[in-house]
Amino acid sequence: MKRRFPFRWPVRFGLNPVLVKELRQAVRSRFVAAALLLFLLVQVGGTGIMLVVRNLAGIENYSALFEAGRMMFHMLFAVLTAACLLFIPAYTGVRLAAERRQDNLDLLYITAIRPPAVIRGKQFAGAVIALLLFGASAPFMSFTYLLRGIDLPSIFVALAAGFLVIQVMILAAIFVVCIPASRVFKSLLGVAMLISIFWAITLLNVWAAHVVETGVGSTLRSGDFWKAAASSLGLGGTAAGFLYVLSVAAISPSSANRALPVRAYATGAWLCWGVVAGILSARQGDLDVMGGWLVFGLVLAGAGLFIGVGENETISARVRRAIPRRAIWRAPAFVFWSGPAGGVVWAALLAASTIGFYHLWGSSLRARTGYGSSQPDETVMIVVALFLHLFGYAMTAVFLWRWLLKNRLPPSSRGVTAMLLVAAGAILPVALALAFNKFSITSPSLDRWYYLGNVAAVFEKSCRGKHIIAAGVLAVVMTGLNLPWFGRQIRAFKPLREK
Amino acid sequence: MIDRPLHVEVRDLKRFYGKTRAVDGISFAFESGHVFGFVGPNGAGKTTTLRVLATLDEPTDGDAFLNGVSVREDPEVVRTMVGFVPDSLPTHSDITVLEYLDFFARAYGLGGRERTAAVEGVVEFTRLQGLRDKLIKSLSKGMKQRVSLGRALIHDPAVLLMDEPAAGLDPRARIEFRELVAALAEAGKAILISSHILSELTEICNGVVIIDKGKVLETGTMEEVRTRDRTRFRRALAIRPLDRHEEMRRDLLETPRVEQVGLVGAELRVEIEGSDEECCAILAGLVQLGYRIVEFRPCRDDLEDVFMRITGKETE
Repeated sequence: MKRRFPFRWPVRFGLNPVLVKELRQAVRSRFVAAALLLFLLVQVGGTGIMLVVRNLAGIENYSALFEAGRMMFHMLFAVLTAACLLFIPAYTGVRLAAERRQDNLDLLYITAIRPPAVIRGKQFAGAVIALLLFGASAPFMSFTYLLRGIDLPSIFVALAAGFLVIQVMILAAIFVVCIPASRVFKSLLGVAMLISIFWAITLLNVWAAHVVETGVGSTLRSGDFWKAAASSLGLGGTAAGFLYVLSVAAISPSSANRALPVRAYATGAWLCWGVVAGILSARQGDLDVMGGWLVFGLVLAGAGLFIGVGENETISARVRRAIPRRAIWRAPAFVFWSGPAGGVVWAALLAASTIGFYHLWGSSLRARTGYGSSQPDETVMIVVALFLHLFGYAMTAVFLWRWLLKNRLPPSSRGVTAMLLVAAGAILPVALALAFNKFSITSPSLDRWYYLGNVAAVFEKSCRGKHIIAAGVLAVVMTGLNLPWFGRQIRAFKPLREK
Repeated sequence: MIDRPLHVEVRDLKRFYGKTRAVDGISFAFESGHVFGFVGPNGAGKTTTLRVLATLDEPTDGDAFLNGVSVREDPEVVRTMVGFVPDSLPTHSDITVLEYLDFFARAYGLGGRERTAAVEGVVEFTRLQGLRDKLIKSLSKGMKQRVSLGRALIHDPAVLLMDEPAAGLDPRARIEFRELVAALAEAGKAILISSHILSELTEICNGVVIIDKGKVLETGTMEEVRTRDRTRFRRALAIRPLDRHEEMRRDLLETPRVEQVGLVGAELRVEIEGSDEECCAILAGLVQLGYRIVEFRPCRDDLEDVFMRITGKETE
């Protein structure tokens, strides 16, 4: 028999392959079918019970008559959000976890498909299943409008918000599965996610109750509604974007320049929100929004610092090939490219820029409007103390790894060590004070030597100066001790010269 | 068909899991048209090596190159050149054979008519025509193995890596599988097959890599391995005299360098220690003694013999 071979075809992507496969499997999945049937059953049952109870009670209260639609919407929305938020992220996460088992990685990951396409495919598949459930709920939702007591824009706004929250939660589930961590750590993250899902269901339903109670139809023409909608969309979009780039980085090959998209996205988000916060602050004449941006910058810098110190020092040939040849471009590349020293510098620059810009903006605002005479300096001092603490502990973790743990633990342990040091800095000095009978129970003041390593104590104004000095000394000394480590990485950051 | 020959080189590859050295600095090479057997006892590091070559796992040190493209540095490029048939069969639930192949064709970037043609091509090649709409989980082991091979071939890779592909197959499925491998080798693919069934590898392989405890004991084409083996170890001869069998057996036993002589039917099986020179000397001696010899030939060692001798020597 003559046998034919498929020849090498030109690469051309159409529909996301993962999406196609996931949907094909979902269509045949008994689990999905059972979940959908159960969902419909609960909706039919709930709607039927509500109608029967109302009819049996009779029409005695006319105001209650006009609440029928709203009441039913609350019930249906609660069922829909609970079903979607509990079922879809779990379904997506469990399927992905099965594919990414270390001992049996799915062969999908050795095809030509790129990590972003895998994450997008999983996300879209989750979105389509959510749409399926929303579609199954649509006839019941329409029915609530006919029962009166609710306006269509409120229904649509609540549903849209619910859909967006579900998408963020699906991405969060994907991220938890993708991160290269131990099962114990992932299980802890899973529990945290479950708690946040319950929170999301509760908050979403409380918020939706408020929305349908007040009705958004009349506010559509006002700017307030669109401002709130835009900021919610922006915040949700930023969070979703973070989860997406982090998931993509987590499943990319270790030789890839994994840090670049994450740091580029974080810097972009930081800049965009800085501009938005600046505009809003200028219009409102206060620093409230800028304060939010300051916290956002600090969280980014802190997370970037702890993740960054855990990166591998050895730059792969693939990353080296992408290093710019011109020195002028090489300096910014060092900050954004994969590498722990670059990560530390990126985090420090981000923190310094955030604090510096906030301080300048606050001074300028105070000069123009006389707003909050001492507020900017106060907030800046807290943030400076916080970041110096984090930086000092991160540098200590690097130092400890270099001198004690290098042959025992991988570089990725440095981030965890830094976090443990933060906890140790809060607990150990207190334990020592207790052991030497120096701990004062009668005086609750945080202005004690054994609180100097405690990050949370920087919020106490009376001892903040000492905290800044202590954390600053730790940061400077540890950075000094790690200078050879920085130097080696800077020297190694050269483009690969291939024959 | 392969457009240009492809050279696969494994260079000082290491893969450690904690203190366990699964692969400890192995090096070997093979190229287009070669079917290399990857042989070793359980836990020798075969599956780990294949997983690294397929980019499913990352090496601790060392590297492997496909026409100079590093498995470590450019796994994405390597993936387009490699087809991998793992030891575990496809277990995807709720998906038919056609959908499974279609998914992987999409994942390798094939679109439209090309994808349809590629899927049809492998369905025909692996003789899955009657099974295309069956759910994968309902297939027998042999059928699943064919689906797995079809998936590995969907993007027409230049290199095919197979991990225990014949394990658990019935005799008919094994014969069919052997035919498929022969056809693929004819098409110019570089094939590396790990298997415990050495007699099967002898029939389809023209090269071998023998590993144990993560280290390569022997590698090369079958001829090279046999030749190297002969110069160092015993070799076997088959002699068929017309008559005087018992007398010849006694004479042979008294000949220097002859280690063992056995009578199998009308043939004498002789084991000697030495090279071609010694073989010629023995034949000349027998003729001089007046024996009438119908046949005198060296016995080709199969992979089993080579494997047993090499691993046996290592054990000693």
